[in-house]
Amino acid sequence: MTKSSNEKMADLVNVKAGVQKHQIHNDEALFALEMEKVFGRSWLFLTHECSIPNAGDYITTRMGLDEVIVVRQKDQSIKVFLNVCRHRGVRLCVTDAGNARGFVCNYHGWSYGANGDLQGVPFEEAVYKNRLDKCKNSLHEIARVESYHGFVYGCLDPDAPDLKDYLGDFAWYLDIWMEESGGIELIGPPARCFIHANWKVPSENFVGDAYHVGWTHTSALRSGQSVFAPLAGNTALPPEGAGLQVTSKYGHGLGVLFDAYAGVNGAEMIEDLMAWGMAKYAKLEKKLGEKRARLYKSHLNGTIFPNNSFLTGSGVFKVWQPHEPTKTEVYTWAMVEKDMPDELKERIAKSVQRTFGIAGYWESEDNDNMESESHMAGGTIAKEKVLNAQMGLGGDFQDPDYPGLVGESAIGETSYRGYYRFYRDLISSSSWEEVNEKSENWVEDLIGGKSNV
Amino acid sequence: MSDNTDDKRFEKCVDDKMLREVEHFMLREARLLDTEQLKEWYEQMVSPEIRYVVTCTQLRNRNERRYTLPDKVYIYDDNYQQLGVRVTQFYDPQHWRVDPPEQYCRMVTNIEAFETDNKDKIFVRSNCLVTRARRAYEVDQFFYTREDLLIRSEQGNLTLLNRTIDYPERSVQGRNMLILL
Repeated sequence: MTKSSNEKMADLVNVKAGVQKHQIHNDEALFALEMEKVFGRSWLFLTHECSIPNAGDYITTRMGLDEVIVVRQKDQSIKVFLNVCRHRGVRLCVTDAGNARGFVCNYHGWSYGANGDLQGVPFEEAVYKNRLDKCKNSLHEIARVESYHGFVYGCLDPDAPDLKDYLGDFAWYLDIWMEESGGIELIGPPARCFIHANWKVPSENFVGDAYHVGWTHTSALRSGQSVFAPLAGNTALPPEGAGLQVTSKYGHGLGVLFDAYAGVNGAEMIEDLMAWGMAKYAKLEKKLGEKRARLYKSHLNGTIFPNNSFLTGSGVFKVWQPHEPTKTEVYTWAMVEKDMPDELKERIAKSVQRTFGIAGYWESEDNDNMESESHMAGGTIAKEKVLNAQMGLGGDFQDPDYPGLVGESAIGETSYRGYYRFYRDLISSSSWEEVNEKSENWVEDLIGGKSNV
Repeated sequence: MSDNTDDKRFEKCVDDKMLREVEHFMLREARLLDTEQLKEWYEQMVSPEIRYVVTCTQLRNRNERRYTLPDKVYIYDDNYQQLGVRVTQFYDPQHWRVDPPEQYCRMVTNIEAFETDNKDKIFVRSNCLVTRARRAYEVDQFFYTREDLLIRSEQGNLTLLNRTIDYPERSVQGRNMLILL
């Protein structure tokens, strides 16, 4: 009996064995399916509310292969539209950001209000003889838009869970830095550049790869002298208990290195950042207790499934925008705490681009791995082989203190496995209902795996 | 930055002798960077007071007035110490990116040099093309305009005090810009 296409997709990921077929990083047909089943269903980061504070403020961005306009409305709500004129389908708004009462198409001059209504059609009476129904030609509106502590996400699938449910256990961790810290601002505009890598490769790296830091980044660690410098050259592992790995039902995951608030920032930033972090920690400890407050002063690397990554103490906020199977546009913002002095915010913004921007002396080291991992997946034989994410397999557990599923040490591949477990369910299902049925026993799916399966 | 943003900065060209010295500076700099002599470049051609800036500008309408958030992202904004981190990284024996070596070729053209209010400072505008060939399949190209302020050091040689590049591509095609422009 031949397998259905959904069953074939499910075979790309073996959760119990902790492996994925290399093909996932370089395959035209799979990429097309991902645009439909992953980007067509997941909550995707669009912008931060601080980038569109006033009515009429807008930014343009991407949701998978679609370009969208995100517009603040008069009632302060946010609407998202396909950035496509309803007449002949050209790009309606050609700027990155601005403030507008509406949008006028450069082709024939059709004009739309900020609420998406088609308002003006040149020579309408003369050329359409009153037979054009403008009400049926509003901009295509994106089904779902929600904001989480100021971070605005959109979803193309009306049947997706609410954003809060989609974040699930992961929200507990996000709340610490997004809300309890006093709130976060993104400093824009984002840097934008292309890497020749599949969008999942950087997403999986950020979701939970502390293993590469001491080796890939040896030169950045030695030259920048950040708080992570002792890891350089794999001369030392973080000691047992130095961190945490977490994954969750819908694939979001993170890694923690405790007490490393200053992150990848260079030596010249450490003193000021640690002083800021420790002072706020002292306040948060009273409110949240030691265990949870400690996460604030720690360094968190993470990915909100599918393509939105962050490094908390380092101030790095990323979206990996897919363009082609091995071509991804990288958006990089700096994130800062709202109550930081302006001078510190500015230093962090520059430091984020210096370390993880287009000319980032950390990022460029990652790019190299990400590009070759994607390129090699094009090999006829290589694509049939599997990638190994077995570190810590069989040791993941539920911890009463930490929501989600937790890995047994600071360094492991718990979050890789959780990310691809959910990825498997998304690409092998025909609806959110089916996804949820398959993901119901996600914990059992992930624990008890064996590397010899 | 006022030296670089003064509207009068293109008013008075330096004399031919000075222009030759500036051209020599620009070409020597390109040669040192092309031939992996970053340490020599850093120690001999860069002022300890350097501000090295590469920005990228968000796409906005020409007549945009009401949206007032910053439109520049600072790809580079380095002082002498921060540039030094990049130079140190380049020579690290475990800097995997540059082993095997990358091959660079810098072309510096349209060099114009102008006097400033300070006799020790010269404003220089130039257009550049850098190609970077790497491993078997990677070739990246970077086109841009530099606006530099050179200052004569106490030893008498010119050094780079300010470099400002507003990079023309909104979404940079060249993989990464871990290359001195």
